[in-house]
Amino acid sequence: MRVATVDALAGYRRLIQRRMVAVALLAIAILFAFSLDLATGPSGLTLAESLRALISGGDGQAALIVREVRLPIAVTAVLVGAALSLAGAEMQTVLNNPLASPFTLGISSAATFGAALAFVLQLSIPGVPENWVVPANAFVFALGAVLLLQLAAGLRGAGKETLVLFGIALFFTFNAFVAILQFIASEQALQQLVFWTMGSLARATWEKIAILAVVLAVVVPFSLAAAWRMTALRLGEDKARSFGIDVARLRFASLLRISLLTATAVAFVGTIAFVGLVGPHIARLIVGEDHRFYLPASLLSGALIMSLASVASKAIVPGVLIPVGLVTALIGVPFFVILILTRRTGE
Amino acid sequence: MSPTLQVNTLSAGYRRRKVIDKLTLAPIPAGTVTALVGPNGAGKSTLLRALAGFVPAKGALRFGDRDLLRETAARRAQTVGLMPQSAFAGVTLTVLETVIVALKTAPAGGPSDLDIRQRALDALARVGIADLALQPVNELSGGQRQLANLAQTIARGQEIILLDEPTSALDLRLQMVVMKLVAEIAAEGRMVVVVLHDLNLALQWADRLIVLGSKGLRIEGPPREAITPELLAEVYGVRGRIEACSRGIPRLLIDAAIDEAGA
Ligand SMILES: Nc1ncnc2c1ncn2[C@@H]1O[C@H](COP(=O)(O)OP(=O)(O)OP(=O)(O)O)[C@@H](O)[C@H]1O
Ligand SMILES: [Mg+2]
Repeated sequence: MRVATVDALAGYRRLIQRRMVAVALLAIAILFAFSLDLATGPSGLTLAESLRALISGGDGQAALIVREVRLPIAVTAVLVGAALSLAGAEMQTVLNNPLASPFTLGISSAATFGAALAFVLQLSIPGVPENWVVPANAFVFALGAVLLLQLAAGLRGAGKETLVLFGIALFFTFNAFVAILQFIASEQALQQLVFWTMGSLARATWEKIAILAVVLAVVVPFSLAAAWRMTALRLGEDKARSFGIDVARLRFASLLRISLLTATAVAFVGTIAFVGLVGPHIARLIVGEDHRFYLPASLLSGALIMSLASVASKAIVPGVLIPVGLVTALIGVPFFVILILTRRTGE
Repeated sequence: MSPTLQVNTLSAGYRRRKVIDKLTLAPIPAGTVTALVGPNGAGKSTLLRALAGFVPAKGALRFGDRDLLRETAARRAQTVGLMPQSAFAGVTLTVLETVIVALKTAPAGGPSDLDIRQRALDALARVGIADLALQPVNELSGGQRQLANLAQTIARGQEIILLDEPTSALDLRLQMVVMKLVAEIAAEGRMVVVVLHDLNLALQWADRLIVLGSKGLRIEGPPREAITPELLAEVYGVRGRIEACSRGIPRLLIDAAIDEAGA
């Protein structure tokens, strides 16, 4: 018995180390993808040239391209991927549903509706500067959708199944609203809207990056602080309760974090469907469900997927920036399938 | 004097169904094993869940001079530990991790990571599954999963331990191992309320018996006095008898189900 105990402790330590290494490797992979992203673009600057231009600064053509185009796009890709994937990870845990993601539960659809109101009907929140109208609308509606979800969660006796079904109802409702707006839209508005729904990093600016970074910097510590409680919730609601965890409060706080992350990300880049769903799955396959590792790994795999997607969106057709929302699906799906097919532990 | 658990006119249930209706029990003393028995759907699980605070309850529930119904979930969980009837569906964490989580989320916090790992392993060793420590719980057999569930429940060392059918999936030897563990926990001065379907286990191991019938509490008291052929007929609808075995220990024998016609 004693021997088994010592073995188990050593085994557990190895398990933890393996996970730390996995998280570190993910981070390194992001660095590579990020560099690749900086080195890719229609202007043909190489990575070395880009870095040199970045470091030496100045107002040369190369410096301008890197500072105002490539770097913002590369940084936005990483931040948006991180935000959406972390949101998806938390969502899958608090709703105990591997299909939950900001996209599948209607949050992206709500944001699209907000954006559509701006494009088609020129409806906006008074006082918002013109180039912020679309993101502001998208943000408000995304947040509203999550608040509706929370309201549903707060209803007496409503379980997580109710919540998921309610999210799916939101998804269809907002999609229908968007379709109505598309139906009455002018050709130009329709084009803008369709482009927006495809998700694009081309709208990246340093202001948006700052906002995204602040949201992440605020949310991530709270998310990590809840890691043990989230792991407990994975064991089942009853288990979590028997540990003395206030499950309703944990879920509420998590939905709040999810809403901030999703609403901000979607507001700035439009609909990006796949990252919030796949990032967490990849994380789970690599590090398991201990949320101390699962949450950071989800964040990082989301960032990695988006960064690679950003590279691909520039590289697939040279000179053309394909909407990144399309590329995430194209890159993410095969990546995902390979991981599922090659994972060691079966169900 | 060690505190007792007092259940007075306690009502609890679900939205459309009140399962426990004004239940009053004799005070349950610490350091004892109480078996909670009754037919399927009688409300045993619901009662345990009400005691642990998982389902809303009205009435009075006191532990010593503490009013448990007014305490926060976190405070109550420091004293009351519940092992649910089923657990770990689709969970890929390892057995050891599930116990570590239970200790890590304890309101007290306290011990270092290394202590927690050791304590978690001790809990596994106590139910005899230290060798399964690094297996994912969803890859365990039904009985092994039940043992992991039990190890997790006893790990925190709460004063009141509520076990919902801890032996239902176990082989003959493990049933004895678990019931002996239950007796040991009681001997430490903690209180165990355990739901059992095997009345022979109750006869052998329990100090007290609570029998829930379809209309609430049917009888409570020492198992050997409480279990009678009349009770078996009325509560379970079976014909049965209690007979002393060759060693003089009372054993329950069930002969038949009494059919609806009342033959
Ligand atoms: N979540 C629930 N919502 C509504 N009713 C429930 C719920 N859980 C149990 N019930 C009902 O409450 C009654 C008591 O159920 P409970 O689970 O307490 O029975 P039990 O005595 O533990 O039965 P078993 O021996 O089968 O485990 C049953 O009639 C059941 O239908
Ligand atoms: Mg039950």
